[in-house]
Amino acid sequence: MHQSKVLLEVQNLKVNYRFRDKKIRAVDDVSFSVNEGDRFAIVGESGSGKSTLGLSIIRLCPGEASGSVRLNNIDILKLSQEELRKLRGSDISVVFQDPNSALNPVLRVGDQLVEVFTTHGYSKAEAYSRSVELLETVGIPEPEKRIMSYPHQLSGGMKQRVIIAMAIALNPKLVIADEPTSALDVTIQAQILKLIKELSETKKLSMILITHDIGVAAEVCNQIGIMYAGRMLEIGAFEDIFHNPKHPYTQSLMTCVPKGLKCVLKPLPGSVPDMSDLPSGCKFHPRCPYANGKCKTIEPKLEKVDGRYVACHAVW
Amino acid sequence: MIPLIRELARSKMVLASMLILLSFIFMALFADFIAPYSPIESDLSISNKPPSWEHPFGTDELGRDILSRVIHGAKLTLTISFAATAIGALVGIVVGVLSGFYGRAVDTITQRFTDVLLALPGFLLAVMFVAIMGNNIATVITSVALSLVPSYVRMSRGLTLQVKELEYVLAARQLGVNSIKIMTRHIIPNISPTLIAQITLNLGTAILFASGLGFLGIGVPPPEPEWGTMLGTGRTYMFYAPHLIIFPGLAVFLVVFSFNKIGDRIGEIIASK
Amino acid sequence: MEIVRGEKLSKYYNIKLTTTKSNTLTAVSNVDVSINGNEIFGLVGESGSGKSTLGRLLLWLEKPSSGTVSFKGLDLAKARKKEVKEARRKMQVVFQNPDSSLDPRMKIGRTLLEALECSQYTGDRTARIKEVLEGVGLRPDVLDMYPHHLSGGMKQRVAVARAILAEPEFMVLDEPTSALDVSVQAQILNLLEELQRKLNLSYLFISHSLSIVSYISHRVGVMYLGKLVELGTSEEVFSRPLHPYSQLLISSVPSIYLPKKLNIPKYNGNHEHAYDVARGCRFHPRCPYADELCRAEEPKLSGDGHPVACHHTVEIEKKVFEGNA
Repeated sequence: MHQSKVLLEVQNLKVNYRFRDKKIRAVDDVSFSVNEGDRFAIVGESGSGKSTLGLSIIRLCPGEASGSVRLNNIDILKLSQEELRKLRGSDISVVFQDPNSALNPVLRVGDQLVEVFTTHGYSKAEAYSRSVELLETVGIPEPEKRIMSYPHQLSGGMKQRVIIAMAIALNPKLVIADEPTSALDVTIQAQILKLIKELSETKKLSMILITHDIGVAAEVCNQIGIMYAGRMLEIGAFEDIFHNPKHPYTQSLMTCVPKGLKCVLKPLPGSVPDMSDLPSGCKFHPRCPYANGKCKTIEPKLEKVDGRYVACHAVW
Repeated sequence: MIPLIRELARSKMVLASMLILLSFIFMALFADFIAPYSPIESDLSISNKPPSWEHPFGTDELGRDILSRVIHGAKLTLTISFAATAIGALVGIVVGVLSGFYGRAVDTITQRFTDVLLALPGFLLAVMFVAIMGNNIATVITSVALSLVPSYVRMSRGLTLQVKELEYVLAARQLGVNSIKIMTRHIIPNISPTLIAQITLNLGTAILFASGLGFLGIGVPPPEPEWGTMLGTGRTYMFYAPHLIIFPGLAVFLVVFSFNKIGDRIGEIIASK
Repeated sequence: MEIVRGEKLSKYYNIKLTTTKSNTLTAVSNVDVSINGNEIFGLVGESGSGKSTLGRLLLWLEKPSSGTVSFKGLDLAKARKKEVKEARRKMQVVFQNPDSSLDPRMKIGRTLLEALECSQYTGDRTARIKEVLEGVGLRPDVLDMYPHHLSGGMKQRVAVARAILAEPEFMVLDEPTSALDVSVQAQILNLLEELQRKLNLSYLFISHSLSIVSYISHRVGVMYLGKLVELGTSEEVFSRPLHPYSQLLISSVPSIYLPKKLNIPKYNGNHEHAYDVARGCRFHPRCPYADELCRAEEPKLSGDGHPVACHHTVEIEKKVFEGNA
């Protein structure tokens, strides 16, 4: 097992919003790190804060952020707008969920791809030839023809491939993918996930994959962080956590999903809390089968247990 | 209802508008008690006198007190406005919802008809109806009402088309709830918010149409103190007795402006939900 | 015992492009389906497969362009209005989107009362509504609330309660858990299963999620671009899929959901859903086994027990399940 260098270090990240006079702590004191070559999944249900977390890393989220987000030791939260603009696309890029709204419908696909290059100093000619190469890399057939297409002439899967091409164009160190396959059919999803994993391995890109679907995370990632109501509850190697989940929420997530014909579903009672009216202490305690007095008052911190980090008082 | 009013009252402009309207409504209800003089008794010896202590708004060409005429005019104007809008909205909404819900032949026929009516600007429609029916209070109300009908038909039909494909309507149909109940229980309550915004705006439009007709001399006929008619007759004396048109004009402006402000704000509130 | 039957069902939509030109969109094409009493029939397919449209045709919510729908032997196109209304009442539906399933301006109690009024129940109404609410896991205090006060899962439970109050024999569940969080999905699935057993209902369970369909269904149908391409028991279709599309679909599911890995060749990934296939099998542009026959002639759903619509079922079965791919 080789020692990887730490690429991204997030420490005590907090992101707050104001929503109709209420303060919402969308991301509440989150810390984790991503090593070079890692594919880190942030998994959570609705309202968990996973999208906010992912997008706050490159400050694409509204709301005030505090804490630190260091990429190779440079704190992104402290960069100026100009420095941030240089960073986006070339060091960190984003793949969004909806291929239909991520591409400008009135511009040709080629123009949008070329734009990624020209805004970072490349000549038009060079940008064009690199774009054709990129389209080939992401598996689009007849790239010289397709580059002249408009988004509506491409299928959902093709559009998502174009977006992935735009994200890896400048060989960024880190790609943040926010639910990249949720809007796609299952057969296309499988292709795109395979592509993402291959690209990450061949181009040595690190990744943060945000998803609500553990299956998707399993296909691509080697590290995982489970989020709930703005907090990270369990962080560690995917294999460890999948086969031996320690946090009660993680355990139930793993048993909630039908796995073939003979499984038994053991659902959690209740539902995800309202972000403007969170419970005291551990945010998960109202639904937790092991909750005790301490859980209701003191918020548990992430502690290293069995090779991963867990935030739970009842862990054994 | 109450939370809506509270929400409306947040904006100072809207609050002011509501107070203005309330004062005009008050004027209309208690006209007989607050007006200092009779609105129709004339005294030619004091015709066209500028504002003074005895006549704060001055007198018109027949020596009638303008203040009293404006106050009584409020009753007339608001009556026409509410009646015309109510009738126009009612007819338009019923036709629109039926047309949108049943579709096919019924829809095609009503829509072609509406197309024709909508080809003319609303005010011209009103002129056309008055030309056919002659002018008195009843025909003015009817004409203004009819000129508002086409846009209500369009609007409620469009809203009905949107709502009728929503799952809760489909569920009601699958249960076997009959069509009339579906329209009254599910469709109309859910399209109301947008319609209410439109109705509030139309209260102002109705006043403009009615006073427009009056201005042209084909509205409510004299001696009724309709503001538009007052503007029409006062126009002749505009340059040396401007008070003849300033006060009725101001009254029209304030009422229409207030309805518009409130209607806009209701529309914004609906859109934000 | 058969409860709902669709025969040669087709549904076309004419989409007007200009005043003179219009395109025909085929949502469902010549589908035969039969659902028995006391069974959960799962219908899987991706976008454009026509599965939702088929559900609506069986409910008689939309009339088919051709073909017949029968409820317990009664042909709904030929029946009298009253009979159709009665039949439809016995076929209820739960939709995907909890936000638009309930009338936002009606209190829950009123919504449920409307459903009960349509049924033939003659006893104490309040008691009956409370009984059903308890059956779906809700407390009576929701009766006084509006939909926007409830969470997604709770709204879906209300939708289920509404369907149950009509005293149905058959229910179409159109992606009932797709808009819900994972932890809530499991609750609703368990609830639906329990109700089916207790009340001896039949379900048409429509979903794009193969893991959910494999978990809950007794029999399964796979749809592709308006056609039913494979039909069999859940065990048969998921453990031994015979149609190349089913094989692709099952292989595409993330492995933690369907652990069995199939030995399949590379498919042509360039065509997603070729809507413009004029002749032959709709799947041929993507199919690695396609040949001249496939391009010329549309295969019919054939075979006893586990029917498949494919010209090369025998060879494909050998290749995929007996080693040589």
